[in-house]
Amino acid sequence: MITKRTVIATFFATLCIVAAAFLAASTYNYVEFYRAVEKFDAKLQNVRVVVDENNVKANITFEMQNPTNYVGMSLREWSYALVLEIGNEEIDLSHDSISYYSEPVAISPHWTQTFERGTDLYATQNSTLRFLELYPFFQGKQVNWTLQVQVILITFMGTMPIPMSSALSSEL
Amino acid sequence: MLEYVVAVEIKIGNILVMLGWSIITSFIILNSVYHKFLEPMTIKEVALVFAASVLTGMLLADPEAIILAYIGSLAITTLTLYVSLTLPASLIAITHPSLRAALMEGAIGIVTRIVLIVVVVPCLIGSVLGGMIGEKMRIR
Repeated sequence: MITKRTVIATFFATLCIVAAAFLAASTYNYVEFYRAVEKFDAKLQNVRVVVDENNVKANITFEMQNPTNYVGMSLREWSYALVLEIGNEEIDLSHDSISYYSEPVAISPHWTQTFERGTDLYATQNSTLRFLELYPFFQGKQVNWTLQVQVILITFMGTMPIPMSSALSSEL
Repeated sequence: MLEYVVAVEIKIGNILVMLGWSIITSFIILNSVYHKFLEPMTIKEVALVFAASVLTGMLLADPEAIILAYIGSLAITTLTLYVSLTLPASLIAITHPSLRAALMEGAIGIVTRIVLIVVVVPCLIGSVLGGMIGEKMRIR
């Protein structure tokens, strides 16, 4: 005979099993959060600078990735600075930023996104002028690029700025 | 002998109910913390903890068993919350030592605040109320 106690006990036991399963899954995801924040990465893949008389255009391709299984972050904003190491100098060549305030980009497990940005560099800027001075001497030679990226992630701990940097050696 | 076996079974049953109560309470609280770390729990979440306590009280339906289960559940829930929140530091998912220390210390504050606000009073009132309902409905 099914008593009231049996019904309540069965309901309670089912609730416990479901709660335990979800508790384990969400705790695992929580542990992954710290790995996700630490391992969130940006990789500079390609830099191409086009010099046409006094017009300079910097085209860069970089990839952002979440190499973990964490679910629950979204990308609100990112900004970058492209730094060129030429000779003994560092030239802060181009900057850019993108915001997704109205619709943050959801970062799923093992999320990867490639960004391609082209920036016109103004010949009036000191950095561009210095680049144009040095360009003829280093054209076709190997130079080092550094991409300094800062992303702002929306997490369960609030918004979190994460600075990253990626280096690349390529022909100018 | 039979009386002894029955008594042991009842005690094991009570222990299982106490463990189940801790699991459900921990799940409700941690699910909230994992989604909004620094924000307080909502009325709805506190109501869920209260409802789980009422259900537990109905199952136990005995004042002595309820008080014992309440004390045990309070201890297990506190331990579960602390262990779960500091797990990233224990498993060295956080490599930075100062961040690890900050999480260990921060977890004490979060757990204390939650246990005092969400667990102590709602669980006691809920389980006593559940016990009264259980006795009235003759569930035991």
